[in-house]
Amino acid sequence: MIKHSVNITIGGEAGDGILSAGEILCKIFFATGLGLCTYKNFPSRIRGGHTAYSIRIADSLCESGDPETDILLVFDEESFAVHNRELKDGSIVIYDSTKVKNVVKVDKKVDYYAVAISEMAVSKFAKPMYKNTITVGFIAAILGLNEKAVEDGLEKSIKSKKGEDVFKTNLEACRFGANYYKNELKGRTIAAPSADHKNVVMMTGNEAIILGALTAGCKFAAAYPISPATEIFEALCTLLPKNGGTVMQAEDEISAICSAIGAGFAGARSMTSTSGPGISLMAEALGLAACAEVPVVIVNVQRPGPSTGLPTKTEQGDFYHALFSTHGDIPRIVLMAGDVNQCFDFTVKAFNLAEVYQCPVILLSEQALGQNKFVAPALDFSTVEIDRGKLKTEEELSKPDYKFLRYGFTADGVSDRAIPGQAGGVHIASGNEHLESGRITERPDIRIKITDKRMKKIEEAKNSRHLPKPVYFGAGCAQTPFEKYSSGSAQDARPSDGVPRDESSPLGIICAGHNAGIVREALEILAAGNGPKFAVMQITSIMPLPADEISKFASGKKKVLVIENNFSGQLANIIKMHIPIHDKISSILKYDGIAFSAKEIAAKLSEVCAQN
Amino acid sequence: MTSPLTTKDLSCGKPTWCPGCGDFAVLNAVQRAIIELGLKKEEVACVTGIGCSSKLSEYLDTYGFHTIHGRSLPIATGVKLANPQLTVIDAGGDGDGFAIGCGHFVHAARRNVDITYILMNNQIYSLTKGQASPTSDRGFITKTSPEGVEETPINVLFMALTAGATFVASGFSSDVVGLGKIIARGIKHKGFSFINVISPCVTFNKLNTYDWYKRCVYNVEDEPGYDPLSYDFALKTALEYFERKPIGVLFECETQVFREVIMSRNPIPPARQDISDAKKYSALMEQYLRK
Repeated sequence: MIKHSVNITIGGEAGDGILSAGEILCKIFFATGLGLCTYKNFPSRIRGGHTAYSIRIADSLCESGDPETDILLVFDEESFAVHNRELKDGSIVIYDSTKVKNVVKVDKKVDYYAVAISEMAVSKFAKPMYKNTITVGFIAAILGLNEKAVEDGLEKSIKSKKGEDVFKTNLEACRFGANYYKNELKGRTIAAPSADHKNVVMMTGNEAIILGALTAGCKFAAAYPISPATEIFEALCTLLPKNGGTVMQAEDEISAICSAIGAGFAGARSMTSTSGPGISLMAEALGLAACAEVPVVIVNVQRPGPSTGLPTKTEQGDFYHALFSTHGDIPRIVLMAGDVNQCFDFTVKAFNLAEVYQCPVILLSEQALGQNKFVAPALDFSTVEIDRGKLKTEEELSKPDYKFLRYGFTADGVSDRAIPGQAGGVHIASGNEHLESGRITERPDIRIKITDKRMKKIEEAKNSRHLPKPVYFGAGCAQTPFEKYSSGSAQDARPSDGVPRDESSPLGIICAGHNAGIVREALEILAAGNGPKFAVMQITSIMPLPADEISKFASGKKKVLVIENNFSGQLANIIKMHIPIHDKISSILKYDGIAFSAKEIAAKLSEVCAQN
Repeated sequence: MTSPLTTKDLSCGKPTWCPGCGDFAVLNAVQRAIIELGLKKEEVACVTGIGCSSKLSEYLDTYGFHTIHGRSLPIATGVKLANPQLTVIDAGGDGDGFAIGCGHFVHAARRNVDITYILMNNQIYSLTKGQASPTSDRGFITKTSPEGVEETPINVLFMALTAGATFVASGFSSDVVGLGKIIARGIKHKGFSFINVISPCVTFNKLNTYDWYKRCVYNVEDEPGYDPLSYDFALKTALEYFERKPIGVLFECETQVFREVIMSRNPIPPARQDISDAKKYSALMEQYLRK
């Protein structure tokens, strides 16, 4: 569990270089072995407007941001005003006195240091951008960071991209900043957390999905640029062609999913990545993939809707869309990843499920998970498996007693599949209702049989070894909230199948996605204050929904709180569709575009208990 | 050595087109082209959208994908990119390709993806029984244009040329042999081949009939100064489309095909790669790892 953490926030205008300062600091902290997660607050524009990069470092791995800031560095007045309310007793503020003139201090024990950082950068190092590395130096001095680690972090961030000279000047600027803080300002220090996590990665959820896609054998990706999913496609544009695959930047999301479906029909594992508006455009093609039984993976890094909404903020508002978009009844699988390790694992699973059940698989992530960095247990490649389902080889297709029927009726609803180029497998795939052969039909009896066949696949998928299982932790569960981090190995990070051992707490929490990690820390906060105990179930598969497990989980509970980031309690409502636990369920909701923090959830949970 | 395919070998099911429909000739011409080029059934993937003409994939006995309205081009593009060894033929109507799917047409052409797109142009929506289409002539009275079409029809040849198609041709259902040869040339062409086929609807378009078209078509190769390598000539010819309709290959040029460079580095098509060795990708984690 987290015993000591420090939250650092750098604020300024977009274009100030906040991002690069944050990235450099992350590399330094990671090199020292600390746990870390970031929270980026970026506007949907390239220049101007308030921007902030928060990094929370801790002695344990952590997934929740902290609403209170220990160290605040600001480059403009707006940032000064915005972040003032995050300060607490003991905080340190350094502000760029070149830009920040209107200084309104909070009534707390906070040390403010005015430094003409921008002027200093120009006068000492000739370029205003060096203010970022001077800033890194300040933070290194405040936290008393190991000089070697700082140097390594800078080198890793700068040398390969900008060359030796730029790196050296940056190193100088950083040392200057550290010395200035120590010797000129004689600034106060804050004890850095201490940890030496090994066999860990630092990556974003989006990066984990990229690695998952490559590992799963994805060979085709098409997408349209969209926040907050763009990084996935950008990386695949470089990586897929190097690994036997190909990519296409589509003219819109309709084209993106359609070309991915075309590639899936042709036999390549294919995907598209998008966010809300793109998912909306993909609705019709989702039905095509399901009707024609073509495997395709759709990654949706959620952002707040409706319409354009808040492109660079976070939400869990697409549960309904993932479950219900497109006309008619279709088999589809919807997974929801909650951390970096699940982003990787579930991406691989999504590709397997898509081919095994020959249907579209939607993988939900969210901006807060997709675009923020987390130090997490190393990804586990040892259990990765590739399962191509009933995809036939040419040899199998050409056996004399074998008759290929693309949509042949089978016990599990899954038919043999052949791909163009294979002799013996010639067939038509179709979004029109069709016979077992694939040829168009309007026969009522066939319509019923083939609909039943398609929908049967979802029943079957419930028991698939590829379908992620719910994760249980907290009161009465095999896994304590922080057990997944205990040894820092990926083994512990994978979903535990441990069901609650007893009914020691009448209070249950159901959550999905990024909230799981935040709830873990919230429970630790409550436990430390002798607060109420909760058993938690993280749902990882929205379709098929683990209804029996939810039912079992809820049976001993007096109250089940569903925590989610949307207005209407979408996940709670989906659960109510399956299980009659309406009297027990209540929601904790947030839809301001900002992720929950552990402190916030802990406070809300205490509040709910106080009311009962 | 297997005996060469016949049109019968390449036929499947009984077409539901009206007697006299131009689409029969397009189907036959596609089959002739496949036979002429000596392609095997399994090497061909025919992708179609929705509409009378898009039923072509139902009646052609090769790999086929009968998809959704207006989206056949991105789907065909995906098929081709996943397996460049396939011959990918996309066929569809003027509503499918130039109304709902018009955006995709422009991008498929400018990408110069190596597929053959056959537009079966009858200037009307037929499967929905007679509404104006984006290629309907101005003034044409239909169920949705009771006072005559007010919009300018799309000049498909001109659009194809300006969007970057590297093979642009026009054919006519009344000459199935000639059409078959044009389609074969389109398939052989490396890059995006666009073939506008005048394929009259005998049921819902009583204006643009076989006889009407016969009065305004001409063989482009007989024109003075004909040069399929000349973009200027093709543009000039295309601009006259509403007055006189050229039959033959207007334009053909060889230029880089979409993803050609990547394909040349990866001789095994993406769809045919062995993906069983997943663990090798653990090396990608190194840059993120603290050991």
